[in-house]
Amino acid sequence: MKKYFYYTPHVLLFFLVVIVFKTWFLPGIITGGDFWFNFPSMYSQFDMFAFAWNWAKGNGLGIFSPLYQAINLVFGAPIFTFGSLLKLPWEIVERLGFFYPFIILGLLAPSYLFKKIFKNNPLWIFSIIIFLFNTYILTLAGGGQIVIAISYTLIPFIIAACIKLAEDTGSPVRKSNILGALAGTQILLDLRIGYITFVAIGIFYLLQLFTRKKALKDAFRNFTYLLLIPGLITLLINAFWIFPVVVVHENPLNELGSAFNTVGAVKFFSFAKFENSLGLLHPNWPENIFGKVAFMKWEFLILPFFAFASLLFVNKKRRESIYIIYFVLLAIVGIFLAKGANDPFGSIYLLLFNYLPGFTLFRDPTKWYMLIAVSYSVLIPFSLYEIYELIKKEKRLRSLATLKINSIFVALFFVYLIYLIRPAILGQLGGTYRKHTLPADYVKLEKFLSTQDDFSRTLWIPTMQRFSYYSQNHPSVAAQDLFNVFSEKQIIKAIAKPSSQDRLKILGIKYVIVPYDTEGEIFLSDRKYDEKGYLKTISDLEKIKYLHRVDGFGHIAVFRADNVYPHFWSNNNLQIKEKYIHPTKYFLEVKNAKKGDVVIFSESFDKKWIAQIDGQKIISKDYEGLNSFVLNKDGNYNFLITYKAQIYVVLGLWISTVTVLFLLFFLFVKKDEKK
Amino acid sequence: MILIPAVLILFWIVASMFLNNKISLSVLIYGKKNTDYIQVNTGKLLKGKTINGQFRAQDNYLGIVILRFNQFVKTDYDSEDVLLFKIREKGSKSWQFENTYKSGLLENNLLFPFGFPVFDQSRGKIYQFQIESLNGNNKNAVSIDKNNLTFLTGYKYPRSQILSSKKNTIEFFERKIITSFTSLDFFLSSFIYLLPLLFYVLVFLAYPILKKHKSTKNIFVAGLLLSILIDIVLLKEIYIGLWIFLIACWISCSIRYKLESKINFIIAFVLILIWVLLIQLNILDYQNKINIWVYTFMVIGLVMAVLDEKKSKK
Repeated sequence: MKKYFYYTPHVLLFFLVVIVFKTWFLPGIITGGDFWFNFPSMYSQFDMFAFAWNWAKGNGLGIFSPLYQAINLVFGAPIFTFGSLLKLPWEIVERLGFFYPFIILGLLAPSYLFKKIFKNNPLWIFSIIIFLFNTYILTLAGGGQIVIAISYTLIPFIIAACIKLAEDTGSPVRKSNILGALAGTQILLDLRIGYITFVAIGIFYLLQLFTRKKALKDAFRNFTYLLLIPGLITLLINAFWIFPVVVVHENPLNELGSAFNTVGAVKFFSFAKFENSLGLLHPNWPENIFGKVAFMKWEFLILPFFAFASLLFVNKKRRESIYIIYFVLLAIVGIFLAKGANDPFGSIYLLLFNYLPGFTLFRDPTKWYMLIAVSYSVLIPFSLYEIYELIKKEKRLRSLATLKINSIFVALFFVYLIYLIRPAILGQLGGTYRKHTLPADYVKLEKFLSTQDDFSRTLWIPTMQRFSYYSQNHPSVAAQDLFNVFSEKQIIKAIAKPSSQDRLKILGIKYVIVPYDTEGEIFLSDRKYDEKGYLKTISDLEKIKYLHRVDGFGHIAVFRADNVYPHFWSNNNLQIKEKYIHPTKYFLEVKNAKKGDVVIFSESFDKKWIAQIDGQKIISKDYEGLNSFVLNKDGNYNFLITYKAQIYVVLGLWISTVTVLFLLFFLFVKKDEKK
Repeated sequence: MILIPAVLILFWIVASMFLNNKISLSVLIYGKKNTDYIQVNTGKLLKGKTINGQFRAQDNYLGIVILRFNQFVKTDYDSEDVLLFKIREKGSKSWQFENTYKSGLLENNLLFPFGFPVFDQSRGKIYQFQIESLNGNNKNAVSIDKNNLTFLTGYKYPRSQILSSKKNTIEFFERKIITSFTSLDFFLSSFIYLLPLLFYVLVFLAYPILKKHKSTKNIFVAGLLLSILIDIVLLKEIYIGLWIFLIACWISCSIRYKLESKINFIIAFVLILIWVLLIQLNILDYQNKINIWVYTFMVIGLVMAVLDEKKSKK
């Protein structure tokens, strides 16, 4: 009988995973929020190499993007492996590459940490439930931020590595390397989550420093193995994007736009109030509509009650006492930061945002919920078990124990946790938890565009849809960003101007597309899909003379603009033959050029683009926001156009590769030698 | 002995007048008089409903009408209500000033100042104002507590008028001191500048007395908790000086009487319980204050737990 009870948590967890994430186990496309669909024909654009120039960003006009290199690699690795190499369809690639790793790590990480601290506590299942099934992470995963969610699952492993380092008296180098490898991977997945973990490690270090017996003696040791070596490894693993940032000396956050680094943005994004963060309740739960903050649900305030009750059970003689204090400290910091600029003392967050290096990454303060989730996942099961034991052992409560009140209490708490996430259990969540089908109209458009060999861009009005096709040969441009206006009406007004025809021509925009809003995300009126907006946009575009309707795409309205310029063109109609080598290197053949002719390269202007002609380096000049190179003599030309910053990426890649190989050798080969 | 408290009192008065970021130095604020009245609809200010008021100006240069609104749940920007504020001198056929305000502005500023171009010769004249909701509905509407009405008027003196003669300057500051320090809100706002004096009194006068009488523990702890409760229930605004003072007293009390860190968490739990009950009853007025105190007690409790842990390792 006992044996059956032993497996009860496993069975409960299995059913919980299957019920909450059921869509992920059923056939169909998973998409939602930031996680978009990719056609197999798009796999080739994801590779295992890093490039300093990202052709897809900068609104389809390219941009120097050290930050996106890491993101591209993280997305590229699974897509390259499962998609390009194994030729699997997207439905399988997304599951194997992103969603299943999240579930697996989400199940393993909290229980690993919990068992590391409390070796004999049988309530580890609660740790997993709080960690993997809280409203914050469910909302995050539902919003398609699955890479961030995977990064989140590494936090417990990293904290466990810190604890191991602090407790073990043996050689700490190996453990320090593991910590560095984990932290490096996490930063690769998401810089912000890496920052949050760094704060968690910093707090751990300071607490150790403050409370340990031989604090000063251990200070140097802990600093070296907890912070210095892991920090160094983290930097080296990420050298391929950090190195170009340092050398080129451009703030990588600039590429994300001003909305990322203003105090106004922080105030706007501070959706969570103190009660939300205290109750580990995501402000947008359960609808997950951006900006729509739900009313506080009182039942969530029971969670902090149990989390902070853990301090009432701290026994200073027990080894775990310092960890309880540590996780309470993490929770307190997390609660304070997750509410952002809201009361109490919201101005402190704004001060940190303005003055603390790296804090500008947190215009959305809800990321700090992760600290709360990790700490509650340790504290609450601890409190529960202490209460369970108290009822069992306390003489005055023995009558309750005989009635199995303690077991009933634990069972009721399980039911309570399930009750908190009832919209997930009842299948009421949207985003990635909802079944999606690929609209046939988008398949037709993908076939049409992917078979066109000549370079051209597509302009999406007002913006792209999650099933939109784009490639290096056909980058997509959002009209909202191109014209810097928001409403469809303003976009139409801008596009109807005579000057816009020339602008589209210069940018190589051959197709203007009004998407079929199958998900009801684009044409909105009071947050609800409004077909009138969609139909009006099409009818207005039909009135523009230089655009010609292309039929055959069902609900997607495609318009063609004629005589647009290719990727490379000249002001004097020169014959230019382009050979693409990779995103930062092109080979050009130019015939019968005359001195003073200009070759225009249709990517955003950046003076790091260089033409190498006869040993001479010609730096790019601005031509209406694009790159241009002036030819200085008559005749034929064969030359390379390269992006200067790529050399730093290559150097950085060498550093990263050597570091990873060294780590693999040290962690696996050296381990075997020891045996 | 007298010099230090005298300097500290002077510091309090001067700093309160010059460094107060709530009310400009050149503004005189007066409370409601018996002849003034406000007609308020009970409940929420829904679309088309109005708040109407009439008052006799107590000074020249009338430029602000201040009303306290109840705590409300702010909706997102697009769904916020729009309030139309109008003011005129009684007898005037049309409104002399109109302006609209998004209701979201009130969220962190419940004692909201409606500003308008200054009426120079306003003393003794009767003015009428109206606040109308243009988009109020059950989700976004604001409301005013009819039974606990705060209604103030502000008079913005021009700099040239204040400095025009010695007599005018003295008269102005006389009135400024009287109107300021007879206002509870101003007094509590100025508490932060009163802290040096209070700490001086505590350290050099109160502490030796408390040290002699050890039995004061319960009275002192209970008194402090009562003060905190009063702060939560009666004072709707957050007065940072008062908050610091109460925290300092609580910490001193914890050290003096060797209170356990657990007590802080128990108090925080009790406050959370009260908070849950209030949410159930849809009473949102005290939420912000309870938030602050819950968090404060948690932080104090945690710091004490860390110190205990350090001691136990020694």
